[in-house]
Amino acid sequence: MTNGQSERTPDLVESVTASPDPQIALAAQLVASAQEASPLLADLVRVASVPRKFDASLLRLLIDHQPSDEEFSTAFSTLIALPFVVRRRDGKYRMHDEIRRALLARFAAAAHDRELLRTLNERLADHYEAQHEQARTVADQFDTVDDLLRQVSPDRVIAMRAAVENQLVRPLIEAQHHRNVADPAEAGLSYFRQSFELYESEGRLEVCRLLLRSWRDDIAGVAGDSANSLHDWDMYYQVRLAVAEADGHHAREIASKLVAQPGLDPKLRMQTQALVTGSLMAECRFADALKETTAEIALRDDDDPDPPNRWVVFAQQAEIHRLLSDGEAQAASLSRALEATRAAGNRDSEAAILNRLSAAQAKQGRIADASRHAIQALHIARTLRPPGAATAAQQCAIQLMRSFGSADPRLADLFHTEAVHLTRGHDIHRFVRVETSYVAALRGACRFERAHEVLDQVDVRLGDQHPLERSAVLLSRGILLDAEGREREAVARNRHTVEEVERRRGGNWSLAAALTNAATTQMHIGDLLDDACSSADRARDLWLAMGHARGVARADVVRAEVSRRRADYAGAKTALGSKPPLEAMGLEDIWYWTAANVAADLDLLDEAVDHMNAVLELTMRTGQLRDAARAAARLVEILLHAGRQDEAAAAVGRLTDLMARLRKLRQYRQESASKQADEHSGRAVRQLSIASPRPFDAVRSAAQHLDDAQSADPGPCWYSLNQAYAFLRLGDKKSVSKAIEAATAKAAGTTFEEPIASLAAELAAFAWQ
Amino acid sequence: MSLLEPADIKDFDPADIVDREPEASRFQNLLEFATQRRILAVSDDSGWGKSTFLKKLRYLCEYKHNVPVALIPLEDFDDRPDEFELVSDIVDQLKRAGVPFPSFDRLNIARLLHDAGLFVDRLRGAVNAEAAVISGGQVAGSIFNIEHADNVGVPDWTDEANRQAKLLCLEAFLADLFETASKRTVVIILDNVEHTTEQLRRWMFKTLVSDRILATPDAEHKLIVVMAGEKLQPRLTSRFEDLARFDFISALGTWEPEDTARLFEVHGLNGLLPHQVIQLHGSIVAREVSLTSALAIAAIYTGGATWK
Repeated sequence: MTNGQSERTPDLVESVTASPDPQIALAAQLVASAQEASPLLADLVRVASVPRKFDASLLRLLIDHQPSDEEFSTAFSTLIALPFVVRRRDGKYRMHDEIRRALLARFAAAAHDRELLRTLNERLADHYEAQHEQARTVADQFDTVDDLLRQVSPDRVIAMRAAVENQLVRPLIEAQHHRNVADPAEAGLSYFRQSFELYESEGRLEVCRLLLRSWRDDIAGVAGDSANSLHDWDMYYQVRLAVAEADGHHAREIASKLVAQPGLDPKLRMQTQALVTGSLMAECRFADALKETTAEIALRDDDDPDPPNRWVVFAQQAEIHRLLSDGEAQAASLSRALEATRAAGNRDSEAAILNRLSAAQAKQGRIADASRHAIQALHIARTLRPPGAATAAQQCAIQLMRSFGSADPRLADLFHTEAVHLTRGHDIHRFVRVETSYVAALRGACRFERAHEVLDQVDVRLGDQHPLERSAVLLSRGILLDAEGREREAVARNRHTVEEVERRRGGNWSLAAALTNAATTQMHIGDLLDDACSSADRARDLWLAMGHARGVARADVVRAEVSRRRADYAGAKTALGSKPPLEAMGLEDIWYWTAANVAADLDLLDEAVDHMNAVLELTMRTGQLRDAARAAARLVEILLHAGRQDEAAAAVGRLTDLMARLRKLRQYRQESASKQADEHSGRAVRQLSIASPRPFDAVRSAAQHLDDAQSADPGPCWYSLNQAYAFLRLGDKKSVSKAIEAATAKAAGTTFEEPIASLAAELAAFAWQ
Repeated sequence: MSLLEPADIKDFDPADIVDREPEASRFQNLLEFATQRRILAVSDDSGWGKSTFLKKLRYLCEYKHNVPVALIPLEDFDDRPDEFELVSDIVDQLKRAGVPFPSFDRLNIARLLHDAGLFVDRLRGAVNAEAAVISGGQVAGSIFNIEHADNVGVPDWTDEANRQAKLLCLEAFLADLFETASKRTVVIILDNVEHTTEQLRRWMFKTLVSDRILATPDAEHKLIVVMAGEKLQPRLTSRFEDLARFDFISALGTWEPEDTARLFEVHGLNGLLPHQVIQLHGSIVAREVSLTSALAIAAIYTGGATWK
């Protein structure tokens, strides 16, 4: 255009101001004028209004054709010299708000342009998403060299950390913004939720906070039907963030406003309710949490708007009961959760619930039920598709190790190997869970040396990182030393654990647990009885504040034992009460032990015998062989003192039997053939459980590994059982039958005989989908 | 954006500012501290020259009054709506003008190094020594939630510790800022207040204005805050009861024809015909088109010079 051209538009001002929509009229004139100068410039003017900031490379991305560098550079220079293009503080550019609004209004005016605008926003979102992914890689790399760099050049670390953080957050927020502009109700919401949950799972709440702020800003202008729903999601994530920040009070405050919203999606209400319960659990307010969950269940009994996820509320209730050590109530809730998963056809969750049920029943000494449910879970794990199969298989391996590994060291080694094969390299939490479960099994089987070896390896792997996991390992070491009879070392370790937990403010639960462990160890050592009292009293106060009846009762038993050891029998009896507190909460053995000894000291020998017999039965039922042997020995002593020679002889018989079993366990050494067989089995299970580009080859390879495992060690039933599932996938029904028969034969005489035999029918009927 | 030089500082030429003298003199009156007014609120619709006027105020601070000043365009924080980021930018600009932020600097370095032990120690020393608003003991307790900071080892750095550390950095910033403002004039200019998230606005209105500026007797500090935005005046009058500390410019004043001609000239739009300038000036005075729209229309008129 020249001055001559401008003569052709003398009434431009009037045509703009008189237009029904002056903004759109102005935008149209701008684009038309640019078009006369250069079609590329017109494109740039239009597309530059879409991003909130731009530079040359971003605009290149937004135009469809690819001009030469020179042509583009000229047009871009013209664009940024326009009086309504502003330079930002980060060196990029933006359109002045008023002109940007005008150009965007023009986009919105026609259907074709609206579609184009949506495409441009999606393209920008894709671009920023890719930038964010790159930034994540850089951030990971920076984390690995951070320590070294801090020693070499701390100043640079400051600048680099700030730069890395910015590179991570800014593209993420821009990607979210453009997804939201393109489609707030679907893609925008989905991207926000996905990003928030990713960073929440990584514990990077700073990013979550920024995401939530900017998303809230993005959705503020959304009108129409989806506006209310988005507002509800905003509140839900505020609750979620507050829970993650351990600000339960604030979380519950927002949650109460959210659930009072008229027309709230029932599913969102339920998810919010679950967060409220979770926040109470995190504060160890178990009684309140239980009340919330019970109310929720009652509500859902009347009219459940989300039957597929009904199991979740029962599972949460079961978790509260578990934390309260109420085994029977836990099992009852898990049974209802199981029923709900089955009704929903949710096999992944069914397997998880079966494992938890098995663990609860094993703890109660219901070994037959526990083994039946463990095998049912295993069956589901072996017949699920990846990646659910891997998760379920690992849960099964851990559960079998924990509940049955003490009595069967071979099984513990086998499933430990399997669980290790199913753990992803960088998943520290899962790694620690597998190893501490293995240590618990080793401890139960008196394989102390091996247990220490395993904990040493875990220590090396954790180094100075992962404080939460380290606390779990510390607790595990203390319990191990105590079980080993190295009580003074256990005391020292427990003191250290208490200090660690206090230092980190790991929460009342961790502190109370560490204090209770400390008190339980100290009460066995004559010169530490005062310490035992003070630890128990501190723990008792904490448990009381949490409404944790079992913790309080346990602390009372510790006080009773201390009183007994100080010959204060009246005090001991007062602390004990008249009967074991809280049935089915795993306190009976410790209560009966102290009660028996109090009675024995007071020469109430019949009462002492009854109580000690109760200890023996309880510990035998739950597979605590060392405790059972200790009870049997003390029983013999009391019976002899009471002059009940025949019964004493019978008790000696039981003691001999127990000692033989313990000796056998202690003599157990893993043979190299068994180790080799377990390795083959572990690999096979991995191949059956994780996704493979060539699934058929993977299954064939698994079957071969299981052949090799059986050649190396024909004893265990598990290799044949696993092979049955490999054959099932290969469609070889005849081999399935043979393998399950072999597994049943090998399981004969074990607790798994009946459950494995019952699988034959299920496998024959199973149709692989 | 602490690593970057604000881009428009280099671009800005005081000769490009057209008029706005009456409004500028309102600001300069504040700098004399003859009244208790400490906040200048500039309200007008988009495109009427608020941002350019604020640049003029910054120029006056820097070159005429030799007063430390920070100009913050809030719309540039859309990709990181974080009050800490905002404060860091203010700190960077004021530090270049010679305002020290010793407590903030020490805490922020410790924070960025994720050095919890250093953080607790430095904070205890720095903040107590300089009689700032928070004590070391409280700080240690609030960051790491520990009762006896002296009895324990170096706490781990966590996301929560980082959040708390940032909050304390913000506190330290305000303590440092008011420490300087008790002795000399400091100006903070916030542009496009409406173009930011609710949380950032809350920090500005509640933490900075209400809890600090309005809560501190006017005789005790020489901190001037200028805010600009669309519909800012009603926003502020509905939020604050006591408006004695505020001076409001409810709309930027209109111009003479020569001012309009000068506006086009400073933007390089030199080929306009006299009647076009008159027509555009009339529309501006009638508020039919904003200054930005007038510039866009002028760019269309003068296409040849502008588009190529």
